[in-house]
Amino acid sequence: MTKHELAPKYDPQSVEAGRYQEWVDAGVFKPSGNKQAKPYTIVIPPPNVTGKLHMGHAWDTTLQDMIIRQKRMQGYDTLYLPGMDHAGIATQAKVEAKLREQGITRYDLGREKFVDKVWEWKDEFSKIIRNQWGKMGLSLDYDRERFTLDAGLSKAVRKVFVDLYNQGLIYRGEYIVNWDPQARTALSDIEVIHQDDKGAFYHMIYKFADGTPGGIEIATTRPETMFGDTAVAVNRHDPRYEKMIGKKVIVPGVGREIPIIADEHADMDFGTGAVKITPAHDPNDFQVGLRHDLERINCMNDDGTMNDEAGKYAGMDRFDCREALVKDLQASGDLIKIEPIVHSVGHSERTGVQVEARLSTQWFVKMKPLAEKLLANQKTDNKVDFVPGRFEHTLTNWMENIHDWVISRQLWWGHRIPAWFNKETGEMYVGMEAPKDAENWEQDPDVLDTWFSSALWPFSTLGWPDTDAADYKRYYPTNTLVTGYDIIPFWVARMMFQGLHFTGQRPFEHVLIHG
Amino acid sequence: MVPANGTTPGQDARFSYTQMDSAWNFINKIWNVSRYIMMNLDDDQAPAHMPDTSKFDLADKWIFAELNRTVASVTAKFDKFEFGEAGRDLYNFIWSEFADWYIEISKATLTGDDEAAKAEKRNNLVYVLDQILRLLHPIMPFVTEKLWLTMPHKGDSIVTAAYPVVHAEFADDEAVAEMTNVLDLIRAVRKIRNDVNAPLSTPIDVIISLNDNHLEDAFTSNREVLDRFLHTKTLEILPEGAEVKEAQKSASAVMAGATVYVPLANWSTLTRKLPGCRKPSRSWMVRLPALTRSWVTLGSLRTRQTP
Repeated sequence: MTKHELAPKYDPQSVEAGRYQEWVDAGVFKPSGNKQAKPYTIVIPPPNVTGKLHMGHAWDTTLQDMIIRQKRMQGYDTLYLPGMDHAGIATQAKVEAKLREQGITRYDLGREKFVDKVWEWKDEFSKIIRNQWGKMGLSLDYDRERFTLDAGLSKAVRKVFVDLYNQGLIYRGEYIVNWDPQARTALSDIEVIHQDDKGAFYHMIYKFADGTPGGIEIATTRPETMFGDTAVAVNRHDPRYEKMIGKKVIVPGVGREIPIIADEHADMDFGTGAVKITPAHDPNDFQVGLRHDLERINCMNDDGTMNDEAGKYAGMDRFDCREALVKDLQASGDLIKIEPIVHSVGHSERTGVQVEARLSTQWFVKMKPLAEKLLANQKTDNKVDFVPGRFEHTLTNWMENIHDWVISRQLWWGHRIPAWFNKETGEMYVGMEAPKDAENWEQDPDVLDTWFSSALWPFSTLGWPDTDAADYKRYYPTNTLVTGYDIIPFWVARMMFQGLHFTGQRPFEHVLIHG
Repeated sequence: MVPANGTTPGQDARFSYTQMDSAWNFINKIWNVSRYIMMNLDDDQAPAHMPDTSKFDLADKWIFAELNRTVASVTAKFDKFEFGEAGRDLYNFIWSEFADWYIEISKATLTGDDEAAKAEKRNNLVYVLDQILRLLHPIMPFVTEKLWLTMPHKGDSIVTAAYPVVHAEFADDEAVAEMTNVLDLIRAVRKIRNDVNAPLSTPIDVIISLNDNHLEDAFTSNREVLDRFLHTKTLEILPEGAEVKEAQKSASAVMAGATVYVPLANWSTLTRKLPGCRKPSRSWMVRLPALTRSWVTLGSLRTRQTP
């Protein structure tokens, strides 16, 4: 062929063969570093190493690459930064499934060996993901590639945790959390998917303790939690029960005496108007328990089986216990009616099992002050610009109604919480490293919610906490974030309030939202 | 869940093979256009450089003005993240203006005897193609790099080439208006030919009844182009208000500023076609929305070749 001659037909294979590697080798994807030019930064939404990229990723990264390529040609000092996310629960679940095929559990391997296995998985899939990025022609600067579990990011995570803790914005406490008994971990509200399940109202009579004939009728969908009952609540205005307030009744099958209390939680028009209160097994009941200073009795183990509080049913799976208990209560006459219903039940987004509301000690981020900062910033010129504009409402709505964020996870794959407990005294220490006499201390076994590290992505990838780092000074704040509307609460919001709190700046100027 | 509706961001989209086909056809068009241009260059053809606008004919003035408009529009839309809209602008310019008209009109010069005019035309084609490839590069990186490196070019890679900007010297509203009139006339006559089933090989009489006398200059100044594209036996221009004697026995079409008539008398081979028998012309109006939606699927086109 002569110099300026093309093949008669467009053949994608030959057009593309080898081109990407040429570009990478020639360094055309690196930032120009030209100080006369304005910087323009896009950080890639780090894909989970749980698998291969799908069309959603293709869409997302195409938009980013179009922006970056144009900006590069317009003479900006452009940086398109690649990286991946360790994706705690999702990745661990995938690897555990792989092991289950071979008949092993993570407990057979032990923590260290199991974590090694997950790193192997991560290495395998990183290569595949990079290959896919290449096929799409993404103009990424691989010299700056990051991973949410790499040394730099791990340090940033610890710093954020320690600082928030010292500022009183991270605390530890007993709380009702959404518990996944299969993965044996706490889930945040947004990882619980509600679906309509078939169930039943089990109507029971709790007899009066003083021998007065009769009792109070309650209806529950979860009889197995009766072992944790510490009160029965009625509405103070309910004429049916006014006179019973203060009297004691007996929990059938358990024998415990519990008081009838007045609380607005009891809805006169719902069920029988009387509800059993189980502070350790229901978020509303937990609040009622706080109001009335009730005892919290936990009757289940972390794997969804009943504990010793359940007497003869101890060791049984919760649903098996329910079946057996119902039979026994029918036989004894305490259970008077079973009313089939369809009701909304929370299921774990990752494992699909029914979530238990469970009392446990967890780590929390106090959200109110952080949310307030974010909302206040959105009223200034420094606000983050959402395209299309209507998605800003998704964000502010979420922030205005925010609950504290559960950040601890009972997983092995992730950022280990930088808290140590003295083996002898139980004293707690929070810091960047273990106390000097490390042998006397045991580190908190839990890891952080994967979104905790993802929230730091825009600034931790550029060198933070080293605020003198050249990249941090030059390429932060970033310019445009491109992502799907489904992760505005999970990710966008969190990057925004962490960015504001720790860097004093919005982490990105524009957010481009797609489906 | 695959890309595409660039015109309504934030929406989920359905995968569509039709949209993929549209984008595929577009890439092929760009390839063929590039190939044609390159086949008509000298081996020592210089890379794109600023043309001498004083040597522009109407078609040159028009295409450079439209290039300007396209650069401005695409740049503005990218700034607002309106990629679907930007894509539509590019599609319009590249297919409907550059390929369908400018290149077609250029063929006369390229196959003619005027060597100086040929050299100018070649330079102009190289310039506009080069700009087109740069505008397209963010959207289709692989194809544009291949084409750009194959044509005469300056620089190691289109990836770091300068993005097109607007040049004040290319703006020419008058030329755009004049060319629009010429193209409208050609389209009107083509529509009539289609309606009466008269292929281009059949010379026909054309009467232009002006509603706006200003258009006359456009038509008289561009007789050569019109003769080639209309293939007329006779061409008559009637001023505003003049009676069109054969109007009742003619096929007609309306355009901005004039009505065009083709008398059917004496032409037994010409018959008014019944609606519904019309041979469907390549309707870019239908194609456009599909391609607009598929514009950002070009990202998925990058994966189309994945084995």
